[in-house]
Amino acid sequence: MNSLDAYTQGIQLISPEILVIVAILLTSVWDLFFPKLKGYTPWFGILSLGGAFAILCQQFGEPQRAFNGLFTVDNLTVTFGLITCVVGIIVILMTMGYEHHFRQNRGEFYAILLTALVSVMFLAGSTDMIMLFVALETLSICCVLLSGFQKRDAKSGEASLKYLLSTAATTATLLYALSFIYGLTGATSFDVISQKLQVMSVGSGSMFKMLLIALVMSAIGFKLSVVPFHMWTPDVYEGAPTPVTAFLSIGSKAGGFVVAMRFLLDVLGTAYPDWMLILAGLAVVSMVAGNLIALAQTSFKRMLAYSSIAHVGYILIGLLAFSTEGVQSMMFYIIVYGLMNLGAFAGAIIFSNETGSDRIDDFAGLIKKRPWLAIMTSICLLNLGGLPIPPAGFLAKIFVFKAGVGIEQLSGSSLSGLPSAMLQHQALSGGIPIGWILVLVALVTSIPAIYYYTRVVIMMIVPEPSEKVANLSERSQYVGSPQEGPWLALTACTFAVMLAGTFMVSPIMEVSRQAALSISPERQREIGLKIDSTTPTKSMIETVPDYGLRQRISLR
Amino acid sequence: MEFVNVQELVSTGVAEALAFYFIAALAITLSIGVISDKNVIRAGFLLIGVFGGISGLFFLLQAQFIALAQVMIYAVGITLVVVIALMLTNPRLQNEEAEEEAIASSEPALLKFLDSIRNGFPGLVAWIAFVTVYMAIRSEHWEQSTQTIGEDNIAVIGRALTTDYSLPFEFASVLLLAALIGAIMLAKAEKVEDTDTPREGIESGSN
Repeated sequence: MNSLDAYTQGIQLISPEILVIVAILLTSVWDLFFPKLKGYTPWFGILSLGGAFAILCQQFGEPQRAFNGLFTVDNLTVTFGLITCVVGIIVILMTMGYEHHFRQNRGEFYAILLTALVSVMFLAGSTDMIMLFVALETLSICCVLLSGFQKRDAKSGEASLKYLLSTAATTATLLYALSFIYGLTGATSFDVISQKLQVMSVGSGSMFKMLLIALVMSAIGFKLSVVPFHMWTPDVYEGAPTPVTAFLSIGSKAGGFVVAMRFLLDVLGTAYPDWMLILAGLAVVSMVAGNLIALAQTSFKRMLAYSSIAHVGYILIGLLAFSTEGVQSMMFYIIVYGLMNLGAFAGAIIFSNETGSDRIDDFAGLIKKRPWLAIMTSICLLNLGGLPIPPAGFLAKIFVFKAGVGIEQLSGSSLSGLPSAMLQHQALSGGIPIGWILVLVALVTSIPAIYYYTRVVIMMIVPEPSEKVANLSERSQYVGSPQEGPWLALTACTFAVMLAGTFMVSPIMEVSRQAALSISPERQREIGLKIDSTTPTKSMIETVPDYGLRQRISLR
Repeated sequence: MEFVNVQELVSTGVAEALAFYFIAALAITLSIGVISDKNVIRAGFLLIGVFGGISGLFFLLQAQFIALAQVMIYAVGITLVVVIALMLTNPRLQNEEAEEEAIASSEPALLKFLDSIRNGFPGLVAWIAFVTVYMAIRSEHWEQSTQTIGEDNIAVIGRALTTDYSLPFEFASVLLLAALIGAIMLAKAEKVEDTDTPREGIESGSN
């Protein structure tokens, strides 16, 4: 009976996800039974995501385990769940103005989009390798399908195929890494793995650890499109339907970030000195390459794609800080970046629906015909560039940079508590202030970012209307048309960005702090300190409880 | 009855080692064949042999479930489907190959040299990857389990899947649903004249 109680409790904990899954089933059969009412299909998604949002809000608090520790509901899970719900609602709103591109497959689109969203929610709570892998695979397959939804469009097909091939390759590397970790520890639960790895971390061959880190990082780097793994990003972003691009740029990236947090900070926390330099290198390269290549783009979507690579570089600074403050700034950046980016994509959808173009030159003089579209898109773009109008994007950058500056002190005194492997690294890096280098690179690369974002804004406001804009009708007739959806999305994003930069800064920071505390990098550091002071003995290895598959079965 | 015999056989160390080297050599040879054979269909059939060899290795490790899954899913299911798909879609392979050779033989010497470097590059990357992984694995101390595995390890896996790992097991059905919907979406034929415009997206209204 006890296990039954645990099961019902688990079901209660995943009730937001179950609600969304019910919506998936409804949307996938709704068109079949009620073909005349197919306009209602998106509303199931919006309603279920709203319901999930409400349930998730009540789940803040003490971390709870479900299903033998496979799924954890802590503040990090809840926060990422909330982000996913908001992203989902906005993307569905956008899609309502874009679905004529999908012809007969509208219901299917919403069903698969909801599946992708629910897999991000499961990913956020996964504290077990098997759960993590299944959720990640679901997300990947949904992304592949979503990017290929415009069947008539060759570019969409290309995007889908490119995503499929690269995701297959990275799945293989991740699975390879996971199998090594299982072989090493005999467990699939993150807690047990991190305990065992901590005990082993002293005196184990560091080359193997580097291999593990490289394999894990290539999988995470692919999801986040960090520079050496970014090859797919521009083509997929350009070819995929615009709402899907919006989802890929923040929804699937949120999934990548939560995996990065749980895996790098929690599981491989004691290996921090090992992965820190590699990740710092990746962040620097991403910031430089992303911003510089974005400068040369003429397509709006492609520009946003390259700039998203750069933004990931900024966000990674927060991860590298390996502190509560760092994770907190990272969460704030993810939330604000998501809103700004979704707003920019909603603007792009409205513009391309009316003109059929997404070339930056065609945006010229938009303010004369569509003043609100131009102003709201400008607000989102200026915030993406980090200009303080209103200061949401600006604050996000400031917080991340502040956390980044903290890295320097870290590598000095407080990090000495970490296992001895890091001493080699300190000798290797020779006390180079990595934090300062990262922040300096970030500051310098922000200059081209400001240039290419404001270029679009200036384009929309200053020059004479381009041919496409001049041909637009005097008054936009979006009321009563499906264009309401993207307009609603754009307005919501713009207001949210304005609020996030002014009145909502401290509430969002508080939520971010709660999320960061449930990962608590400080705790990892303390454990590292304890292990360093006592030499590991055989008895320590034995005291680590084994929850591995074999043992658990034999207990029955 | 088959399994029991195999297990008795492999319990004597020498026979196990011999069987391992034989199967490993077979699998490696076949896999080299897969990548060096220019004819895709022949390579596909060799691939079946490779998967068979790998499943043999799993049998030696007494992991019957994985071994059978390897045979049924990879060797039979996926590879055969791929081979059949290739047979249906790509009959002109031989001609293309001949054309490529004709182009290659008319190139100047320098280009040929550069080409050979380019062709050798994947091999180089593969060797570096192999050496890295090999050295990394050898540098680690692997604890050897002394636990004997019960004969009913398929039952153990089944029980684990439906009790401890029930959540990922159930979630896999969501994954399959999405894959199914997606496959239908991709394969479904579309009417050519679809006169939808953005204006009539929500005919029946939303509110």
